[in-house]
Amino acid sequence: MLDVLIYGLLRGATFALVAFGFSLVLGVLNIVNITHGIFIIFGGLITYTLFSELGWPLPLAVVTASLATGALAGVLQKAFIERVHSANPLMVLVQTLGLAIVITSIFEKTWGTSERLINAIIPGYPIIQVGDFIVPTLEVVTFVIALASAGVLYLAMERTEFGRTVRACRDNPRSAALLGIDISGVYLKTMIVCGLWTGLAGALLITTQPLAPYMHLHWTIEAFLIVIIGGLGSMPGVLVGGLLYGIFNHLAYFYYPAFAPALIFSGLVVLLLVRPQGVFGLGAVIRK
Amino acid sequence: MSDAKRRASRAGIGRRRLLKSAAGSSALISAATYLPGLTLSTPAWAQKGVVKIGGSLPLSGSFEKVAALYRGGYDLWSKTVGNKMRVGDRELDVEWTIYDDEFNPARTAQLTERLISSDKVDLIVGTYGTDTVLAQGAIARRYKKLTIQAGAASARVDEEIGGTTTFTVVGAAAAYPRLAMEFIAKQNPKPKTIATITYDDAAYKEMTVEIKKLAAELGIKHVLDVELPINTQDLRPTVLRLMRAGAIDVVYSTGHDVPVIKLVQECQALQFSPKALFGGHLTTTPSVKQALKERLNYLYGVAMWLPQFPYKDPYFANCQAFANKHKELMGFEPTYHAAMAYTIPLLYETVLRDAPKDDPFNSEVMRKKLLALKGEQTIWGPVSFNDRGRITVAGLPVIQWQGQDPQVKVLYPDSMADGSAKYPTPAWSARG
Amino acid sequence: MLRINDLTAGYFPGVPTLAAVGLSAEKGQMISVLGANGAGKSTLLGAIFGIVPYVAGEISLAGTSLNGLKPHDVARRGVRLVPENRGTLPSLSVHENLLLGGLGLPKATVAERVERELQRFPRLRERFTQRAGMLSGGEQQMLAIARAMMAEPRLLLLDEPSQGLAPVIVEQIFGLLAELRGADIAIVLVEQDVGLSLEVSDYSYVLEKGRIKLHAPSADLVNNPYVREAFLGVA
Repeated sequence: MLDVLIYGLLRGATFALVAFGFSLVLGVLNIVNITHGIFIIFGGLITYTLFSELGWPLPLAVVTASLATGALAGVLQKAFIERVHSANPLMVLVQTLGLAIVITSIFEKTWGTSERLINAIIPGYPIIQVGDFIVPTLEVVTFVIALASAGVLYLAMERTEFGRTVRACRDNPRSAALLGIDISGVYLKTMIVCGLWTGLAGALLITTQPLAPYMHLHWTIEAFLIVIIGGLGSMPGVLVGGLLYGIFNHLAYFYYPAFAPALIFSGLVVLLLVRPQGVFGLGAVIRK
Repeated sequence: MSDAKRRASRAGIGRRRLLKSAAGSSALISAATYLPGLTLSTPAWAQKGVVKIGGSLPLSGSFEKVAALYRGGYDLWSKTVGNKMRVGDRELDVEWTIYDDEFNPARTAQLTERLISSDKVDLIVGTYGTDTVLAQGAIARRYKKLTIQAGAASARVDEEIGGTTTFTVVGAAAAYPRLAMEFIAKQNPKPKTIATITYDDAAYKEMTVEIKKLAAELGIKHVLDVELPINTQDLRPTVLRLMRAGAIDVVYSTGHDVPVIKLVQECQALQFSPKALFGGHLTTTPSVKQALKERLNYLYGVAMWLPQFPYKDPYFANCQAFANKHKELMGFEPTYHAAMAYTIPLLYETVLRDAPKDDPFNSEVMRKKLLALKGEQTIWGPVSFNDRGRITVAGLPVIQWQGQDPQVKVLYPDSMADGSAKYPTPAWSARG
Repeated sequence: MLRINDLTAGYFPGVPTLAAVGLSAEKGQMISVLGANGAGKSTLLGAIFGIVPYVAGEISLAGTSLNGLKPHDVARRGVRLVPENRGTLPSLSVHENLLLGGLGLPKATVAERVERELQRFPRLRERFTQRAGMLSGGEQQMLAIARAMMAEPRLLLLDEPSQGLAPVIVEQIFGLLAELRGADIAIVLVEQDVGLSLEVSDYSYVLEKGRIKLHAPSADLVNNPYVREAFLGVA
């Protein structure tokens, strides 16, 4: 049991990282961004190309993939989403679905349709023995990076002027504008931040999970689920949501694999009955 | 019916003749379905010297990739025979019509209808997927046409349309693990226990049932079956269960190619190394090696088809020659899909060689000839059909990936072997 | 300071809510805009801020045109609006709301001004770390004004500051507004409480159906028969 919990926790941190950006964009731009999974895939495949094909050191490949995904997110926001968003945020759902399909086929032309996976170990310390089971060192490092990047994002949101402007736009964009905040600028930066963190998630994921362009929607949905579990508008909520999801997933697939999806979704339904605002949702504070 | 009448009169056939040709209580209904045949006084094959082959494939959507492989197989046959087919004493030009059915059964039915009644195809091939194959078969049956398909291994095809309308060149799922089980029992030290991973799909469940049965016969204890939803993301809990289940010598995973990637990845992450790990019948899909690279080393599998298999047909002396031709024409190595699809028109060609002169594409005649095939030599292997139209196969040869740049070696049956097993599999830390 | 000439504005093309409006407010002056519900008072403030989509005519601040600017650009030119719903940011603390009021200013200046506003509104000091969404209506209004003053705007627009507040709080807030009057700031007050407005402002405009019906020094309007009848309920 302990091993299942620990492995679930390790996975959960990356799940949370997958969902931070989604939560941020959902909260601030008030849109369900269907290209979110694209950011995961892009981050992962860039890492694959740089590390596995061009032989870059893994840390450098991961950082570059994160930056590249941030840039991709910025370009999408500026070139496509911004215009539709100012007209009708709901239309962005349809628009990003279209974008996701187009980008997927571009990815398939670039990387092919096959699943990619990075085989990496921490040189010299490939595994850590924990009691009677082992954990790949890289997964512990990934866990730490996921938590640390969550912490950085949290501090950036809570302690910096940028974070305040982002939260101001989330609360009430019109009031934010009246204070001199350039809302479309904040939206662009929010999307870039989403890209940076989500690209990092993809880069970390591809060391443990095969990724291919066609999987983007799966990850978008996964992100959405975690945000719902954790609660809208709460960064710690997303972290807890991700960890819970990781643990619950592992428990379900360990004890009742054949019914795992049904179990997981029943759990979600029950959670929403008991706490409709999610584990940490702001719910009552922000009324839109 | 009124539609049939209209068509009949347009084709210049009197109503009386139409009625006369039909008999029995359902005469009118079946008359309508027979119409395409009746409306042509001189069929296209005789008029223009053309044989029309048609079908549909999911050319767009999730199965785009595999559909393209099938289509490549059809094309390869056409190019191999120079676009000509001998039908009885005549040599006819080959004309293909392949529609995109989008993996949609309703669309497939519609397209099959169109192929038969407007395009007036002589022979039907494909498609891919159980429901689409059944939809295609339902329409073909209505028009008393035959189909040969390679895209559905499910027993439902056999039960509903097999042998009467549809012939299937992909073997029954239950046969897939047979040779693997024989092979396992012969290893030294002989494995005592086996565990299975079964994906939630009829074909995979049939495999596991067969494995359990054979294990009992061969004196190997089946200790654990982990049944998984088909899209299971994370195989870690599964590998954990295998590790916690006590000493498991052999793990046999059913399922397609992505699960194999995840399984091996997790086995390595947790340093789990049974004496033999079987990845099912799709370990040779290129993406598996692309993702796993050297981690594939020591992985076992069963193979539907490989270029090193010792089969031949009238055009290729061996599978390697077929593979070379495929690579030359398509630019990449063929997977089993191409060999399977290529064999479909080839089988039509085989049974049409001495076709009756006046009615060469008579379905009943073709059907009997297909059922009568006894070990017909093809690069897909010897072809015989059971009375349900299913190809009979003893089992799938056992392979193992070997080396740091892993290559496939055929291990079993001995008659096909080009390498020997590296058994038992060493611990991950000892793999170099 | 603020000059508006021949302003036509509305939310739909060809359907002006305001027509041919002209007004001005000088540095140190507080003007009030009176009018019934739907007369176009809030539209006027929205037009200044670039929130109203269809605007024709001239709006300028200290000689620079504000026409066509986005709201945040108007704000950056030294204009603040305290909107009808106060516009406080509910999930941010009082402190954070104030900090955003001083967006773009040097840290030390911001800190100084936060302290100044806390002195002006001691209630906010008590609530300093609480989320703005937890404040009472009066406290939110104080926060909104304090936040606007963080920027030391050249032009302050107030939309219905008394709305929904207890009389004691209204008195308190208008007392503060009276203090602000005469500083280096032009204030435009839109208020339903006409009596109060006329009392605190220097000059008033009366809007009716989108047009300026009359305008005069506030003191003169107190005795204007039309104003008395229409707004003060005195025949």
